[in-house]
Amino acid sequence: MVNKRQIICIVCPLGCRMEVGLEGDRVIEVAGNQCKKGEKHAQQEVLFPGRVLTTTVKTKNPAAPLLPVRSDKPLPKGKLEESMEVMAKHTVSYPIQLGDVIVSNILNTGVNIIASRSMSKKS
Amino acid sequence: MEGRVTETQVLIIGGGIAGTAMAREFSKYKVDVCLAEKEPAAGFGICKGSQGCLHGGAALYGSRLVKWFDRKQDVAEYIRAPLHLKEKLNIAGRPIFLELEPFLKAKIYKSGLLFFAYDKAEMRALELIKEETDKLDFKGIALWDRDQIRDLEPGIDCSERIGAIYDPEDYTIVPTEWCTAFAENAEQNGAHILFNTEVKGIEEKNGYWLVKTNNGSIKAEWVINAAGLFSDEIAAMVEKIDWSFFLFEHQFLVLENKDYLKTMLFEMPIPFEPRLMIPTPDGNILGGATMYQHTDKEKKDLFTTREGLDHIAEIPQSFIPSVPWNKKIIRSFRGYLHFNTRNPDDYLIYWPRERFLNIIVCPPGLAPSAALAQEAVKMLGDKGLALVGKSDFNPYRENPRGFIDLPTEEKNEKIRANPAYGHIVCRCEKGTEQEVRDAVRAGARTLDDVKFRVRTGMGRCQGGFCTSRVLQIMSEEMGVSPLEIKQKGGNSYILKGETKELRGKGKAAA
Amino acid sequence: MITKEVDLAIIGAGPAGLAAAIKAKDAGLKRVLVLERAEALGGLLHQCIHNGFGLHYFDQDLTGPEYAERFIKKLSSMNIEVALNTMVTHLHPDRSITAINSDWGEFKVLPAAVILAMGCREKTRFQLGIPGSRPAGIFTAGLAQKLVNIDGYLPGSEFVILGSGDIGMIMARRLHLEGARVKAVVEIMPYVGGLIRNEVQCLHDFEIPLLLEHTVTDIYGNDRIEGVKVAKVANGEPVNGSESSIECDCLLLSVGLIPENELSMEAGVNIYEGTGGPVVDEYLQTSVDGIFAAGNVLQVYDLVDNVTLDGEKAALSAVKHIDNKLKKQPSEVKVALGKNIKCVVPQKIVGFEGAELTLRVSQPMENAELVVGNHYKKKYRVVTPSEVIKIALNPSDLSQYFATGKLEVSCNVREKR
Repeated sequence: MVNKRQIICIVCPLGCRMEVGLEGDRVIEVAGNQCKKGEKHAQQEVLFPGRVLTTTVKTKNPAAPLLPVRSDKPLPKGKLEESMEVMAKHTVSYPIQLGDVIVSNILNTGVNIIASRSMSKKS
Repeated sequence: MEGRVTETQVLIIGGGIAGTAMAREFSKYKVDVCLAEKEPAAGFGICKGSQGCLHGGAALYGSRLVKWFDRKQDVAEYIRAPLHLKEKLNIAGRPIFLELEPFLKAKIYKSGLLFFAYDKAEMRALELIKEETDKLDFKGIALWDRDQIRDLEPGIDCSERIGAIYDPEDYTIVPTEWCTAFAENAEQNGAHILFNTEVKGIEEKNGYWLVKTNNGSIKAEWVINAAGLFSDEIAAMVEKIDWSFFLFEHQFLVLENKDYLKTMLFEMPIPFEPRLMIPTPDGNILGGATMYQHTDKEKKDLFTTREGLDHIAEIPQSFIPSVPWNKKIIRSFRGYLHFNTRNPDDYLIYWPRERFLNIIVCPPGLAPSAALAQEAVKMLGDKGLALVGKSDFNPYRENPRGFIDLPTEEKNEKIRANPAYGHIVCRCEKGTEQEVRDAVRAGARTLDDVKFRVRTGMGRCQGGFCTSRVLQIMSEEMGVSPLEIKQKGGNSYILKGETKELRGKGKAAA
Repeated sequence: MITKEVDLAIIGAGPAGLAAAIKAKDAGLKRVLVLERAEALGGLLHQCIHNGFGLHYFDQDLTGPEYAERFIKKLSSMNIEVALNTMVTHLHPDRSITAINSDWGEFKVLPAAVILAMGCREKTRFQLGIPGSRPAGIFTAGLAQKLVNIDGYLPGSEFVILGSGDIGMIMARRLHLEGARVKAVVEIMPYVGGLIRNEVQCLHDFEIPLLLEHTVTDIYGNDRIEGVKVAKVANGEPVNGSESSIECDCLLLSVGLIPENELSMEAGVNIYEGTGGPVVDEYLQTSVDGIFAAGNVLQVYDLVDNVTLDGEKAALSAVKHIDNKLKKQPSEVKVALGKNIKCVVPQKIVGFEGAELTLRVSQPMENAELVVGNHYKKKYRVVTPSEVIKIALNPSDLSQYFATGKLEVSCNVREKR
């Protein structure tokens, strides 16, 4: 039984509308792409759609109440909203270095949420 | 409605230009005076949407022509009619504004006026106006031809305009600035100015009036109804009134003025379609206007309309075609002109009861207010209010704004004493942190109130840069979270919640 | 009054200003002064917490703050004077600057060269002529972004976003992730204003309704906004009878950026209508000697990487200018706009060192061919107005155009074989 999924490519401004045929969790075919990068993107997007999560986390620093954070790798697309719930419960204290791990292995995805900027005691 | 009961001798209802001018006038005497204003700041009623003109002679008579331009009667009848009370007050009041400028440090811009004619009939009207203004001793009014018009304002399109009356002595103000100036100076001199105080009911008691507000009751010996657009509702609390208001709206564009225009321009070639370009003291131009009629039920409707905006969009271009006016739009707004059915052409001033004075105004309302204030004091005095002058009356308003316009030395002195003057938080209008703090300390509680005092948010970017900063400063000064700060009155909170509020509780709030 | 004599004054410490300062110091300038109105270096990068920055410049996918920190760290290690919380109030035609801050009061700067790096402001609802009430709850997207990401406040809980430029779409996602409800993104064109990547990852991913060929025709609500009316659009005008209401407590506007050139105009800098920024040559020098422009104040860019490159280019030009090494030809080449070209920077070529053209097309075009003069052609599968296209022209290519004084750029559909 072949399932068809529609994917809009984001690799270049053409935005090719592709159709991906799936059997179970195997990609059988990709149609509508105009280049190899698009085909690769379609496969990835259908099987392991990942999104970098960027958000903020509360801090104990009244002068800078929020710290911008990001996932160090793409998270599975379906885990974004739940990750937001996890992050909402966190508060960090300064000082923080850019890259510090705020939440490690969030929701068991192997992805860390790290600080997107440094924040010294003064800022 | 339990709450503190305030007692006063004179309660003024309404903090527009009339009410605040009166408060200041009364504060010159040893009279306890209180002003109740329902908005969060002075002048937030009609004055907020007013054109801001202190009429000169040509404008005064020109305003009479609103009626004539349906061309049914001989224009001379309108122009030669005797002066109305409002016009007499205007003539007396305008020089008072000019005198008060250095004391209250509110801006007045001498724009002059060009009132155009398109045909012989209109030119005749202008000639008749000149005759009348000559009799009244107005200086400098002249009838001009196209060359003279273009000499003064080279950008004006004179292809269809055949001439104009020029009045050099016409002025514009920012009405809310003057309302605040009057109110602040009154308060300095002992008057009680109560904002966010809306009158809900008035009861006649033995020897005094009990005025119920949303903030408690006030016992007053005398009450003056100066509530502008809502003065009919106040009047109706005391007696059954046989008059009501009919309204004309005007929608305006606020345009950037980069030396495009110095003079006020006015014409009405089509009946009930006035066209104006009004340079303001703040370096903008008001371009408009619509003049649709409304019932008094609509008095709270201040939204602009598609047809209104389309209509006024063409006006600036028709005066000065060389400027790309659509790229100079800062804002658009709608205000009202109100007239009463008993005295459609004039003010309605009467005592429905002893010690209750109705002052029902109509346009023009700005220049007359300074003389009206003196009249009101006299009227109460004549009826028995003891008027003993205060020897320590201070006519100078403290803390006027406009830091950025001070000379360098003064600026630097102020910055040395108060570094927050050196922190400009509004890029467009150059308002400083200290001025925002001062505004809050002087009573500002809403973003609009700070805006009208310090001009933060009034420029090209309409608050894009300064809003975040002003909110922070206000929050510090007021000791409340920014979540509690409003734009203007009522329910106009600016922010909804904290960024992390909707998450972390399970399902997102709908 | 304090007076500071410097080699280079840079107005703005966003990405353009930061890059310019670093490059100028690197190139050997002694006295470099950066004047910034905000409390920190970095400009708007701090509030752009999303990723997509640095793909070209660093070959990495960074967030705005990460991108900013690279430059801020570098700048802090160099001897560059920075004045924060400093507002430039005047730029005079002789290049001198009047500015104010709490430490120096009102002071003057006398620079040998100036780089304008003030960025943009956002278009407001008044400039679009949207009628209706003027309640609380209407924000430009950039202001909302600052409130949400830096100050920690949500300006509403149910949003309508007018405009599908990148910032509108990014805020749609941001607000949705923070738990607010984004009821619609309304776009007047038949396609989104920003990158397709954002359409997919900000709107489709979260099933946020995108109303193409629609616009907001009315705003209602007295104290606080209660809703908007939207209508379908045909030929740029709302279609009668197609209006419907969307209830919301917040309207965000992402309807255009305007290069902030008030100071430039005060100094007498000529402005190019196509971009809203200064007319410049390939050195990014404006019509006023010694005043250069870089970044969004020059033209609205799509990627911050391009803004950084601008800043560096302007800095090198400023250094050359100070050393009297900006050599100009006896005549200029005017760059003319041909078919489907909305705007080009620079508008003229004056020197011997070649030029880099950056341009935007007016309409999207598939199978396009970009033609520059009569020596350069390049094929593109697709060109869209939302992407800045760059073309490098070397000195030998350009020499022929100095004779005619004109160089035309156009974009045509390629003939099919």
